[in-house]
Amino acid sequence: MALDFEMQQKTICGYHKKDTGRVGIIEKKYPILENENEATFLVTRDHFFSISTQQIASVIKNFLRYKKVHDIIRILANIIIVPGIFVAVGFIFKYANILEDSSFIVQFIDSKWSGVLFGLSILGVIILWHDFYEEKSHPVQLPIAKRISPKELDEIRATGFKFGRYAHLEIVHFTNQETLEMLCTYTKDNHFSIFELYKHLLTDNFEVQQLIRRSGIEMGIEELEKDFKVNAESLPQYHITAYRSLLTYAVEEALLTESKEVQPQHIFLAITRIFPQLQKFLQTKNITIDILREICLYNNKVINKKNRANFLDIKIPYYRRGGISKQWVFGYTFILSHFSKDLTRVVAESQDTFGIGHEEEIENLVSVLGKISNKNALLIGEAGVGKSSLILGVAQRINTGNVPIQLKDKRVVQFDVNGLIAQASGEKNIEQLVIKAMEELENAGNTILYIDEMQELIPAKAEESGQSIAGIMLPYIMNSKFPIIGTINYADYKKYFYSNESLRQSFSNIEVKEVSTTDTLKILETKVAELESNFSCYITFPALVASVELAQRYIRDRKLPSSAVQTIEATCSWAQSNNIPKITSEHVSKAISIQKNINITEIDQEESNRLRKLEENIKSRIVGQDEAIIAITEALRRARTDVRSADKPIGTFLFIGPTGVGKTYLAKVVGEEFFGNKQDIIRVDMSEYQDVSSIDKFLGSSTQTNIMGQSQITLVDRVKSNPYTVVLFDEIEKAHPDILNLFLQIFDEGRLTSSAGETVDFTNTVIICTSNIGSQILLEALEKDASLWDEAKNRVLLELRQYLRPELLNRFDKVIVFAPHDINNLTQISELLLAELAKRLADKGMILKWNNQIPMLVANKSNEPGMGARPIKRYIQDRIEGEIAKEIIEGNLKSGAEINIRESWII
Amino acid sequence: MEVKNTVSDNSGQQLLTGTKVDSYAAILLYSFQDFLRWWYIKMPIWHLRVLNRLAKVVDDQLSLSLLSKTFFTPWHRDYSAMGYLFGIAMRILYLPIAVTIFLLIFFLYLLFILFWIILPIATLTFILTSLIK
Repeated sequence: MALDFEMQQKTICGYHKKDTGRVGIIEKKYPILENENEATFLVTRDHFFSISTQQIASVIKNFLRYKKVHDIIRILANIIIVPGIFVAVGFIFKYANILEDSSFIVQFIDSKWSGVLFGLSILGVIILWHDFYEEKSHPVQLPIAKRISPKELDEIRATGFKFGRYAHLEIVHFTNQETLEMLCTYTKDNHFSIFELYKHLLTDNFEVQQLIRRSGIEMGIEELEKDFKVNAESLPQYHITAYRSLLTYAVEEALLTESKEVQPQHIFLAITRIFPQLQKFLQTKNITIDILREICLYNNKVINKKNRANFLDIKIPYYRRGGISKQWVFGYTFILSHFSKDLTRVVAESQDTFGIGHEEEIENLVSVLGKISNKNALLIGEAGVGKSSLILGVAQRINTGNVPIQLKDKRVVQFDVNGLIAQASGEKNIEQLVIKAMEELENAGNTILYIDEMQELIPAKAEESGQSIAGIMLPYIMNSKFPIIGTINYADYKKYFYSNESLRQSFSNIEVKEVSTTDTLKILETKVAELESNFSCYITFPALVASVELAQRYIRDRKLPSSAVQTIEATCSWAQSNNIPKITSEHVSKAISIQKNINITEIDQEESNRLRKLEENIKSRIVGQDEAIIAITEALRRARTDVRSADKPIGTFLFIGPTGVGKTYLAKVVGEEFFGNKQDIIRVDMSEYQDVSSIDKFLGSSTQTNIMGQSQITLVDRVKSNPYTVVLFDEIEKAHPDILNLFLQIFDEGRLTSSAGETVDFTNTVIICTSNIGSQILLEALEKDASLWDEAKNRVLLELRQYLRPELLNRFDKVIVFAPHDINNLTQISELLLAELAKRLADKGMILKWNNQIPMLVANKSNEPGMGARPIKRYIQDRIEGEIAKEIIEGNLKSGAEINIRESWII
Repeated sequence: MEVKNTVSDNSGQQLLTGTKVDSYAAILLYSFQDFLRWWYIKMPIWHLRVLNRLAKVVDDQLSLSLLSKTFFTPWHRDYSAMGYLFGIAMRILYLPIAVTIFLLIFFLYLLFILFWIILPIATLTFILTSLIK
């Protein structure tokens, strides 16, 4: 998995050899130290964790006994509560005159024993209360481990640990009762078996089972024993001194997973990390220890989210929200409220976390909004990068009070321009409504206005979309007395904002970048519960990881996190309609394959055969160009097995050769064989881009129109709408050198930036360029002496350098010289073309037959040196197809008829 | 599920030193001491912290501090004489009610803390008086 879970460098495990006094860092291999003179410890940025053998021995000796006493006390407390309840009920009955004065119960209630029993039951309640709530008064919780900076890490490596700077914490204090009970239970005669412990964790521990379930794998002890030699020998028995190492690694796991205490699942993670055979098992299932940690982290977040609602919990900070009379001190917003949405309220009602991955931008936005003047902010970013989520993140920070004083009690309101236009009856009415809403905003004093798609309010754009509100709102925006947040994409910013100096000065620009894959995963995690409940499915963690990775790779027209969110939603929807209850990474691949009409699922047997036979299949259709076919099929195999670099096109090839040798046809065949028949190849005639002014045309987008006023479909548009295809650039040498420079970006980075600022992805295309440079040399060589072929090829490649710059030539995966066809090749091509004709006639129920001489005759008769295979096609059309058509028209040929190609037709 | 840690507390390794809990009697004695410490020291402190939080929450929910600080701010930022007058009038009407609710909640919780402190002693006294009766 390529995702970096950013868990490293929060903790450092170290060892101490008491006899030599040596202290060092534990890296890569995690040893279990049994020797009393050797000890492990853990260091975070601020804390030092350790555990002694004495503590372990004491726990082993006393814990179960202590628990037994506690259990007995608890049972006794439960027992003495029961008579107390009876006495209390009896009292009630007595004073309600339900019981007769002389009854036995009344006599008992009147006796001194009833009071004693009632008092004892109260004591029982007190004991149980103590038992249940003891943690509340003195929570023993692990601190949050902060990242250790590389500088600090280097310092530790160079000069060793400076223990005086850390606060010392005892690991045993943070080990919860369940874990201690488990360790004590599995310790016999001061020894414990790691294998038995692991077996127990796998089979009996609920948390571990949840962890494995979420990871989407089956982890049976039988499979581990049988295939990975996980047994009592490989996971041996240790003396209790080894618990020091195990608990040190477990507390590290607890810290990395932001847990509050060491739980059995951390022991499970620690054991998995210590023993390589367990990691090997996980590797075979495509799971890493980092993924298990991330799942653990996710589970903790779910628990914390449930606790967040309790505002009386003193461990959670409380931020003032203003209360029921907050609005008294702010102005009315009757009209604005009607045409807007209060995002602070929306966020308050939601349990989700917003603005993940945009912490820096939120910080910037908060500081802009808090300014005295020029407090308007413009968020510039592509669609789907999370601009709206960022604004909700700001609203969430206002709600929690984690903002400067000038933003406290503020509310973020999203203005619904379209709603206002829709509801207003006339243009005058719109104007009045907008003016009133703006006046309300100015008077409100606590409102931050959020306008999505800010360009809609720019008069130039508004004219295009026929919107009449822009001119009215713009003066208010430019001289606003209230903060405004607007969002816009790069293309519109360049088009409408950049040229308008005063408008540009009114806003502080905040660039919103695409979030990282790690943050996207965190965003997906926040949506799991909602998706599972909505689609009645169970989402495994690898499915989330696959959604992020595959979306980043295959859905290039949208940005993260939006692409990943859409992917997981599409997968859930697909799984629901196919009755799949548990979503795995394979299901995500399948859903993307269906959505994008590409194949990214695991290669099955059928496809494996097809890929192996790809070369054979193409060779059966293309004659005499084996070198080109081998180069292309190798690139395609690399692409399908994901071995290729993901940031470059699948393959970039330059085909050189005379006309009619099959350069374009090979591109078409590749398109059909690899991308499927439905996908047409994109063909660009480079002779159309001969002068420098055509660069705009090359980089153009559909916003440009032709002389007829119709939108032109450009290369950019075609690749955007069909990114999985072959792009054929014909006669590349004819293009202007400046246009050829653009190819450097396409070949190197797999993308092209259009004139409108959009980025078009080429990483899923096969790029084939063709050229006729040196055709004459090749033809002459073949005519004179075939043995001169290699020399001719070298001469052609030298000539090529005169037309194309070396940096461009170097970027092609392969430059392939197509050999001109000799008579044998032409005969084979004739045979293929006749077979195609036979197929077409077979559809009409006619059978076409020919003898062995016919293809040779056709090849000889049609052969025009230097023209390749094209004359054959024309010859067959003129002579054979023409004759057959004549026979059909005359009524001589009907369905079921057998046609024999006559030599007279050809000669 | 919240799992408590009974082998240690914040003050150190009470149970893990081994000397204090090497017999059932010692465990019982320790448990009794631990209970008293929890009931009479830790929990009252915890309750006082909760009371502090409760006061803050109630004050915020009833907008007590906010309205007191903005006592002379006009009603919904209507800067006319009527707006000022109405704003002050509303506050004069509202604040006594809000303060009463605040004090009621505050003293009720304080009473609960008092009840907490006397509960074990009162229970024991009740048992003893019942026996003597």
